Amino acid sequence: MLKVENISFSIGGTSIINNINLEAEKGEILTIVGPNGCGKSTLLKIISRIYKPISGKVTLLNKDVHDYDTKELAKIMAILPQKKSAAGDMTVEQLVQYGRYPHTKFGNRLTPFDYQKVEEAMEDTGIIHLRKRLISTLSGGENQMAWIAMCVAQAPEIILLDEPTTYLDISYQLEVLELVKKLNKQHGLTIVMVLHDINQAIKYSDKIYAMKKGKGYKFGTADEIFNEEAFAEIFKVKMNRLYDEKDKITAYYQPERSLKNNE
Amino acid sequence: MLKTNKKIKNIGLVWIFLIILIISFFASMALGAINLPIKEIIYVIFNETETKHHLIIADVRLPRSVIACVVGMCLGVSGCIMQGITRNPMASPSILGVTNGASLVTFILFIFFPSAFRMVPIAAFIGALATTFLIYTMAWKGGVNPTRFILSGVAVGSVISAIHSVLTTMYPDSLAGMVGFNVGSLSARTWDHLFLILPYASIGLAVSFIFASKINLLAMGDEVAIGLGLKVEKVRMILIIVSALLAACSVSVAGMIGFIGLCVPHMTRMVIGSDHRYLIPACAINGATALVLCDTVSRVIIAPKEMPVGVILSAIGAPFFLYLLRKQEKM
Repeated sequence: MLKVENISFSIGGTSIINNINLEAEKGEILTIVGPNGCGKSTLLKIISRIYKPISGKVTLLNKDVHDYDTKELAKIMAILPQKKSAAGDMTVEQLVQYGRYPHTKFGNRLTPFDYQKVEEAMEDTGIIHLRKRLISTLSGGENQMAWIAMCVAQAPEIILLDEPTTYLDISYQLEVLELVKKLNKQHGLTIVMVLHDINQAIKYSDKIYAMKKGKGYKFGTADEIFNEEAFAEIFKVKMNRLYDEKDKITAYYQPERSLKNNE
Repeated sequence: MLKTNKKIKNIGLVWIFLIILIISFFASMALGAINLPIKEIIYVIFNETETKHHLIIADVRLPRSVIACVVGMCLGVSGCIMQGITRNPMASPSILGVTNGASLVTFILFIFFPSAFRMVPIAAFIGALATTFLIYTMAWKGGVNPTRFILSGVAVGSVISAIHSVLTTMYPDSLAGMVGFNVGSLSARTWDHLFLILPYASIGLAVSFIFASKINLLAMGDEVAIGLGLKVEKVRMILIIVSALLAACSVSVAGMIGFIGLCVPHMTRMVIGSDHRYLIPACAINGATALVLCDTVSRVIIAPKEMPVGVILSAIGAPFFLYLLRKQEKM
């Protein structure tokens, strides 16, 4: 579905990411993790064609993303960036309608089919009751759900989410990730997202790509990647492994102390 | 479905704005050093040819009011586009110094080619476009920060004004062609002036209307717009060119008219909302109304003498700009 090969990127001569390789199969949830400034969001922007790499290529459905027409790509790939703004007088329904933009023709008028897709997107994301509310009056969590609904209305095959749980309380963090999981299962959507919370990444991902200082550290399932050594290497943190009482498997990790002062 | 209520309300508002413009237009025809009733205006236009009233209406007030409409439309839409693509409520051709740039190149044209009247819109366009790109380049740092954009505009505008002053000192004889340019005036404008800018203004306004829905996407942020399939850089470039063209049309015939491009989009947005599909046509209509009304006031306030319309607009616009600054500081 998505293949990133030998991607490197620099700004003003400073290397930001270096020789990244990863792959996401159709219907998978792939999460990119790593410390602040390691290039996670930059990588997502390269995948979504916002930045152009200095070397390497990103292939989507066996075609280089830069070979797609902009609208054609938007029909396959939706993006939920961190920076986004909606006009104060825009309603949830209007926002979701913008998701149909790639499917519109000259004049950008919506057809009855587009309106039907907008209804479905709002239903699938559980925000149909918010349809008449102004975006400016929504809580952070509701706001994020509305933007995800816009991505769903695009009817893409893959959604890229850049830190979708940032600034949300724990309840909404879980609600957003449950929604992502539901969309993945029900619609077979491939998800590539950047997350900060390791335990959430472990719980909601099929594969994890761990980055460190602009380079790939490890790529695989949570079990393949995470152990005490990996946490010390990537995050400079000592993590305690907490086990499930009954099954004796790793339930989650708890940070114990920073190892940065040991350097 | 959403297309019902809000759409009907917005279309209704656009029609109301249009009716206000028509009333204002007839008021501007009727009022002046000599006041004439509407009935007589219509009679004079269609039934008389060489009378004094016919000359006043057909050769003086009618072309002047039509030019006020077109210039007001250009300024209203130009400001609306600039505010939309920069996501900055304080952006406008005059605040950013775009009109100064247009005026400077026009002045240079008058100095070196005093008889090249037909070239004025092109010279003004080159000046407006070069200024816009200069401001944009100076403000760009991985994106355009609103405050940096305004400050770059003010800085560029100051430099242009300084160059303007130097040229004025060096070539005082060329000032004859620039009467009314610096303060902005519609005095003594004829049909020739209208036909000079009409093709450019028509193209600029038509492209603005076509691209209105794309401005909505740009206003959501570049990354969102790219994700939705918009060719962001291409669309932004076209809109920058169009906004410069519209500002240049205005400078070509009316000089540096300030504040319409700032106040009209802002006030219109308060009434009709942020959807540019309605906001752009509404700004065109309200820009026309604002300039027609201000021009009428400029003609009657010290009649039989006339005050430049730019002075009236500055008196209204400057306090409004300060109000916006204070409001943005609070945010």
